[in-house]
Amino acid sequence: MLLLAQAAEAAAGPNTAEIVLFWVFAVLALGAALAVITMRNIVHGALMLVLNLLAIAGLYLTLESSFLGVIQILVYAGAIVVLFLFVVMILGVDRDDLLLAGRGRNQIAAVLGGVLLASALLFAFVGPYTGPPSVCGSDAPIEVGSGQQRCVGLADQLAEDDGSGAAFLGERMFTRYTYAFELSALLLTVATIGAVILARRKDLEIEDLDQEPDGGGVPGPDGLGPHDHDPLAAIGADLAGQDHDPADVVDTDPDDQTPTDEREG
Amino acid sequence: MAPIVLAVEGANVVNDVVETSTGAVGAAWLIPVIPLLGFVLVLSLNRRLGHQASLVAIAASGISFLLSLAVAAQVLADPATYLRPLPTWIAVGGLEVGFDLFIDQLTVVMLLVVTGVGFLIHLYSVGYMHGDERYARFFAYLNLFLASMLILVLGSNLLTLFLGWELVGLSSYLLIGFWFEKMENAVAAKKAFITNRVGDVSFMIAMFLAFATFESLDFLVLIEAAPDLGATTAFVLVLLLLGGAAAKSAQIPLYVWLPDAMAGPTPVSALIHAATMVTAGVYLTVRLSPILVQSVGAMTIIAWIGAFTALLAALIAVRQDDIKKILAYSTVSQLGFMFIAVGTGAFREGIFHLVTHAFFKGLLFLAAGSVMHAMNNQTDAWKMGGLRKAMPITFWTSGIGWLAISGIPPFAGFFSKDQILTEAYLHGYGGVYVVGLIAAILTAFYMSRWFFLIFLGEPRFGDEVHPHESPRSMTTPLIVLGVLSAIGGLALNPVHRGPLFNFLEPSVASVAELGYEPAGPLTEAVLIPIAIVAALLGIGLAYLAYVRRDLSLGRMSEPIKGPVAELAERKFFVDELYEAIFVRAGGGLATAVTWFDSRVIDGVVNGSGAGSMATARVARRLQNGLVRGYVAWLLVGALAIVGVLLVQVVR
Amino acid sequence: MAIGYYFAVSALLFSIGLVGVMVRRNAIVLFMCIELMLNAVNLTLAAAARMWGGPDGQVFVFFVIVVAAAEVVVGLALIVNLYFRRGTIDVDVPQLLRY
Repeated sequence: MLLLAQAAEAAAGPNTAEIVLFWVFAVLALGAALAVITMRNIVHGALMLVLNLLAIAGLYLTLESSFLGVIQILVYAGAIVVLFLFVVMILGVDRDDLLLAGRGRNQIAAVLGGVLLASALLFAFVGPYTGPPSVCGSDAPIEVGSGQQRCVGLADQLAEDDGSGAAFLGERMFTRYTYAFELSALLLTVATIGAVILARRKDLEIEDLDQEPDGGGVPGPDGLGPHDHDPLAAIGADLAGQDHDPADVVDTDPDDQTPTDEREG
Repeated sequence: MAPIVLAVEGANVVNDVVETSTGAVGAAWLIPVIPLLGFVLVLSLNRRLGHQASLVAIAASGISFLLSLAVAAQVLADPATYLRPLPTWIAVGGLEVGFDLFIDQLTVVMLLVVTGVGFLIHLYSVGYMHGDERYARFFAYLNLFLASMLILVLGSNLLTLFLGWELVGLSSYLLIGFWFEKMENAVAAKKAFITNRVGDVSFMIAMFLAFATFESLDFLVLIEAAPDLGATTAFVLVLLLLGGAAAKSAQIPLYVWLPDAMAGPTPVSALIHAATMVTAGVYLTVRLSPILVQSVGAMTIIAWIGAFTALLAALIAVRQDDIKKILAYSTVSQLGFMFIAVGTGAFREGIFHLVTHAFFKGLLFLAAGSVMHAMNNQTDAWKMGGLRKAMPITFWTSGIGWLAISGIPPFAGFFSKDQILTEAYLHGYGGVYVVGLIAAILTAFYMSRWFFLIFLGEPRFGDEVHPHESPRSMTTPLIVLGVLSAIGGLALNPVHRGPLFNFLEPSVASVAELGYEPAGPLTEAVLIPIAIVAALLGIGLAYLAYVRRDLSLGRMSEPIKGPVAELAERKFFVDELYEAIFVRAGGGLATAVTWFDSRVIDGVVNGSGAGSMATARVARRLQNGLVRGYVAWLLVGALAIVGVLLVQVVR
Repeated sequence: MAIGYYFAVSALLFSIGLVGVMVRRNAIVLFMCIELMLNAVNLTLAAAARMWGGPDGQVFVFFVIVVAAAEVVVGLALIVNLYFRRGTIDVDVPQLLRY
């Protein structure tokens, strides 16, 4: 993107490229957002969300944070929205039959509130930041040449590493924000475990917990569970409410060397 | 010790101050203590002894009397102001108050009167209270009263006097309300106590002022430092003391309790409300006469209050039909005379009248009690008559009392009353003299009416009543007091400057410095016959009205009629006036305060509880369980924060 | 160009997300609108990073993305649970946490 910008700049003027790209992506993002909140079909809505996320990734690129842009696409658009779609598929609620927000009066009130907030934010945060110092920060030197403005400081720092900006980011993250990094890793682990527990069917009992790892889809040392070759399907079968006796999943063959066989009976 | 000089410059006789713990004076502390022990003993042995308990009480009062005689003998022999040191009561900061006894001539006079009359009345009560179910308790209370009065009289400082003052008030309350089963007796007792309380407040303020001025409450200090009092301080102090004395001695405006106090048993009326308690106010003012003489203006006020009280009470007494009430108003009136004496600077004459009044008024009350005893507790004079035949002893002794109070020589009352009026005139108080003279005429009139209606004429009662003479325990005191009323005046002070007068000289302040001038040209030689004529006039008018007439119609034949008479009968509506002003106002204030307390104060407390509950009831609707609602609140919060930031940005 | 424009975009995006949260009753759509809001914030941070001339803002964005991911995981699990208990994912139905 940087190259693209520099090329376009060389071609069409100072940071015209940035401006053009900004407007394109901005309009795209806002339009997709509006679509998300108004679409009835949830799958279509999720797709609109993807479009929004990609537009924002583009905005990141115009902001010279290419690492973030890529991360945005990979994680947000690639994993999170996929999760959304999975849940939609499992629950089977792709068509939103629910009416919007009950009473029309509430809808109008909500919209008005949103407008109010938007105007307040615009007034507060946009006004002071439209001058030259806001481009690069008040104490970063500005190279003003032939009417252009360019943040020299950021460019210098960016120039130090390879064009991806990863080292630029990583250098700060692993020195000053190490603890936050570790904690976020812990957070992800906890979230995963929590999600697994939360998504159970309610008729499962406690002792099934011990056998769950065998038949639940996490592969034992011998690979897949004896009956299920598709762990995800087992989950799906569980979640879909089938009377799935977890005992079926466990290999009752006494010859089987399942290490976690703690069943008594 | 240095002699105390009560009379300023030119005094003839002064008292030395002697501190002693020996002799009769040394044992004088027993005088109040023995009746006090009697009180405790009788109460604790009440059940065991029953009727015999009265003997303990009588013995206690008898011993007190004998001891008082001994003390009197010592003081007569060696005139001085004796101080008997006793343990200290309060020693705090600058205030030091002890139980020391202060015995001088004035004390001796008071002691003899109190214990003598007290003993006689203890004796009388044996017969009068016979058969009462709380017989022993009555005697216990009588002893308590005796002890309290003695503490009052013997104290060497204002605080001990006040202690006795309060205790006699308490005893009076207990005794007036002795038959508390009847509501009106309890109400009368309460009225007496509360009215006295008002006076006590005045007394207390006087004590505060005295302490502030003199740094001490001891009589010796007060007496010696009295000449240094400033005019205003003296005036205020005397008036405050008057406030206290007026309540105890039933003067205007605080006399209203005394007539109601007749609800108590007659011995109580005789002892407390004739002879002793009501004289406490007179005693107080005479004891502090050195302070009184520092403010002639205040003394004049005292004199006029006494005069008006004497007149008012006499007017009311003219139209009362209850024999005890007549005597009660008579007491108020005679106390007015004593106050006239104090106010016009005739201190010793006032004490003389106090003594003679104790004799004849005590006698009259006991006689009334005797009559009531014979007539089944009847008190309406119109339902009596002709009792002279049935009750000779009572008749003759009452006759003596009647003549004494009317002021007929040579009976006791003549001397004392006449000396007061003469002295008032000679000290320049002509107006007071005239008012006092009119009151004297009225006194003779209504007392004659009292006597004639009860004893003379034809019986106005039916056959259901059989009057007979009272038992010996009741007639003996009557006889003793009758003798005293007859010869007491002659014995004590037949001429104006007689034995009692001289005896008391060192105890009271001299008025020589006050520069009194006679009110007119009349001399003593003229004033005495005027007094006699006044007395005879009163008796004569009463004779015409009540003796040579047919009184068989009872009250209908009352010859004194007219609007003034009606006013007098209604006691000039003073009680009603007090009730309307003070009782209603007090009740209204209490109601208002109660309203305020229950509405405002409780309202605030309850209201805050109710308010928080109401707020909660409204506020909890915020939590409706709807997620999107909470998000809406989120929006509001966000707007608020942005608003705050905006404000900062704009600034 | 001036950073204010980026801020404007993110403000509008945030408001749109908020309106969406308040208006829609479907739990999943609600969640997606929340993601919109988070993205708006990320955009703000990234723009600020450029304004400040340092990587701190970008680090913050990174962490926000991580947390958003964790949040989505748990949230979707909850929605699934809710669906199996109530049979619907209308957010107005569960009202037990009321007064």
